[in-house]
Amino acid sequence: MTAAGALLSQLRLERRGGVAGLKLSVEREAAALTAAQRHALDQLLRQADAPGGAAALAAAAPGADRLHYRLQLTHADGSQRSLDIGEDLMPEPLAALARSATT
Amino acid sequence: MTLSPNGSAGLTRTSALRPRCHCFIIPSAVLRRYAADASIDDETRQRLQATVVETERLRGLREAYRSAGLRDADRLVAEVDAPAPSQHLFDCKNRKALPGKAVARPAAEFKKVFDTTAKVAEFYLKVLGRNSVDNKGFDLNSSLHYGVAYDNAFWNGNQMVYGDGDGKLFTQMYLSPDVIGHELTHGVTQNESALRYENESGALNESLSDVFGAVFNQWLNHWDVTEPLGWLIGAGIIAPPYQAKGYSCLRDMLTPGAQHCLSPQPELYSQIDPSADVHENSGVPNKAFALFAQALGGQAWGTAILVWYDVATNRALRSDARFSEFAKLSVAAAKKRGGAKAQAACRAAWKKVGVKA
Repeated sequence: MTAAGALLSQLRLERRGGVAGLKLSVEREAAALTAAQRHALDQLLRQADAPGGAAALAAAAPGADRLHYRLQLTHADGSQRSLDIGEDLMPEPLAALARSATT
Repeated sequence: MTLSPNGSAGLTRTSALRPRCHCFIIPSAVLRRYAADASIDDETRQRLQATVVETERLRGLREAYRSAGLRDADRLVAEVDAPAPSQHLFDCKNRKALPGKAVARPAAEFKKVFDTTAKVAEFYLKVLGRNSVDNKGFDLNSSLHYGVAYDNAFWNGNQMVYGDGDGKLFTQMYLSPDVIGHELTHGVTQNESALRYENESGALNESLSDVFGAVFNQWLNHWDVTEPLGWLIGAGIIAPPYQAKGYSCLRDMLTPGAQHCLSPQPELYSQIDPSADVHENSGVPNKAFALFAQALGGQAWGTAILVWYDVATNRALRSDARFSEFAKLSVAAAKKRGGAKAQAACRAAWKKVGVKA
């Protein structure tokens, strides 16, 4: 389960920006996430669901050439949810997952 | 330890960070640290993070107002009275708290960043007549070893930050002189047009950093406009595994769509996706500058870069400028700098990438 209450089926994580301007993306079945990744995801969703939380997550990387992440969650019932996250608030277990992607 | 530009083996002069009018009672670094502290409850951390974001926003706004209101007067002061920028180096020790620990005994990588940053400052002073990012001698702070295997370098609004790379995709991000010039130029843009970091203005912001970074690299290596290496961005940071795949740079200003680019870009205005990342669409103005410089011949740090600098510092350049606005200003600046021949070359360069000037 995620903090949103729906059963998570799949996660797609995209990293954009940085001085390189590279776009990296990775997809994982929910069952393949590690405990640390699941915990980080639950924390992110709790932050996003707080008042003003989603905007704060998206804005958390002031300056130029920062990394930005987009998380797309697909739930078992087919519903989807997207989150934009600036690198300052991206939990390391999920940032590492994005790094595992290749160009 | 604080290093000054004249402290070659290190460290002949020490100066504290000059006081600035920062009126935030809790430093951003402290707020950030607590915002990331897992031992604090989520709600409090969210409030702290919101405060960090708001603080940065206000800091940026205040600086922009100050810069906009005082720009011309400040220039006069800068010419007469401002000290040269000092440098300050910090070691993040693979953490993400900025600026990190001040460096007492600089190892080789710190000396390299120090030397290259000093050269960027010299380039701006000697070629463009500019004293640091704000034209008033703003101290140049660099933090190295940011994060773990961090594949990026950035300007956070106050300083430059470099990761070590993961060794697979990228090596140390400061190994390309143009990358250091690129990041420092973001500070210049922040203090001048403050081009908004989205859409075409964001692509122009990125392009200015590539242009001044590349021309700094050409100046450093005494390359004229015919040297292909001089138009590559990030040629020194591609790690061996990706070099073996045929990638030799992040971007190529002359051939933005080339296969040797890790981040190929569109070359024509008709090819851009307005919603794409700002680093992608910057290929169009990048190529326009490269074509303009090659049409003039010789060294790009002559008329060509002066024309682009005239536009970058022109108060008529709006923060949400589109390519065509920049192009028109550049054609006018080219006429002032180089007469009818330069004006025609500039207009032709923009026409080749599909932008009407």
